[in-house]
Amino acid sequence: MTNFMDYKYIEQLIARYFEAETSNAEEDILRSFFRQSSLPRHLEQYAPLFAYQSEAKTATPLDEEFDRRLRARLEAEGHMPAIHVKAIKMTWNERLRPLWRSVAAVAVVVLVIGSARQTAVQTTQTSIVFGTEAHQNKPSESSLIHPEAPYRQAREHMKMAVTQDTLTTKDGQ
Amino acid sequence: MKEIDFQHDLLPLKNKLFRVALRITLDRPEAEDVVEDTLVRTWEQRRKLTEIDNLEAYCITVCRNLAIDRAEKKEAQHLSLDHSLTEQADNALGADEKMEQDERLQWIKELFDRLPEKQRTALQLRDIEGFSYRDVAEMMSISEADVKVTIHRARQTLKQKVEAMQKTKHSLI
Repeated sequence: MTNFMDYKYIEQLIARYFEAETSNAEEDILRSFFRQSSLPRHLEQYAPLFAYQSEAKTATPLDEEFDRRLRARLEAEGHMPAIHVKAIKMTWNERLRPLWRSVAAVAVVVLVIGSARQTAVQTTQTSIVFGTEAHQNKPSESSLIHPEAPYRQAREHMKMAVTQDTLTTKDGQ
Repeated sequence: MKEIDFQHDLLPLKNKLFRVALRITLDRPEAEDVVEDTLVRTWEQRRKLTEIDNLEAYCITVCRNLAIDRAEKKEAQHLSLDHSLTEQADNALGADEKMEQDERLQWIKELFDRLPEKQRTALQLRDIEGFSYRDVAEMMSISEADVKVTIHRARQTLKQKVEAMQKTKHSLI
């Protein structure tokens, strides 16, 4: 029951994704979210969809044999391009730019899990002090994996981050 | 744009073009040929293309048109590609409740490949290659609104299939 409330933000993103209303950055967040190994049961069904998107981008690249064939054809047709080893004039920032977005998305998920675990431990400790039956019996792993309050807290951070990101993206596109 | 360099401007596009071509032809050797033709044709036209500001978008447009031509010719020769894919996917559906991760990704790929060409190209460019709606519109020579509607339809179809699969699994348990 608590899971359905905990994952409201992600659920909203999923709903907006299917309505074609998400930004590129929000779609990156979904792909990162679904890379986690432990997902709430009601969201598991969507995992292969997003996992496939990540996987398909790296699958079946063309090999060097393709390059050779292409060059041979251009040569035969008299269009041989000059081969010259020229350093690409690119700053490090330019090279890394495509990575920033995914790094940011991964960071958000790591942040969520990290702060969730941390607060979960605190919650467990507190409840032992109060001596509630459930927690005394089970300060269990499940409370570490699916805590309620910390997720909500982190979700607010994500919302802020994404709202800013969305605005920037809109301007940029 | 300055003069096009084969090694640095064109060749690095090969894998992206290949993924787009493969999504349309659904046949690896055909897709390789399409990429080869795209790169050769663009290289031969390079002197006329110096005014182009987005070489990648131009190449993807050429690649898609060549791929559609090939797919249509092939379809005229053989039975519809979609037919055999439909059977495969239906066999996979519900056959095994403990579907392994690879099988689940393969199943999503088959669902993806069964979408109409316009939908799967738009979804490929957005969800896998990560282009903005504006870029996809330019590459497919349609309006941004049309891209959104197309992607909305594609995602809705996938959503329905994934959710139906989940129901089948539950009814088996």
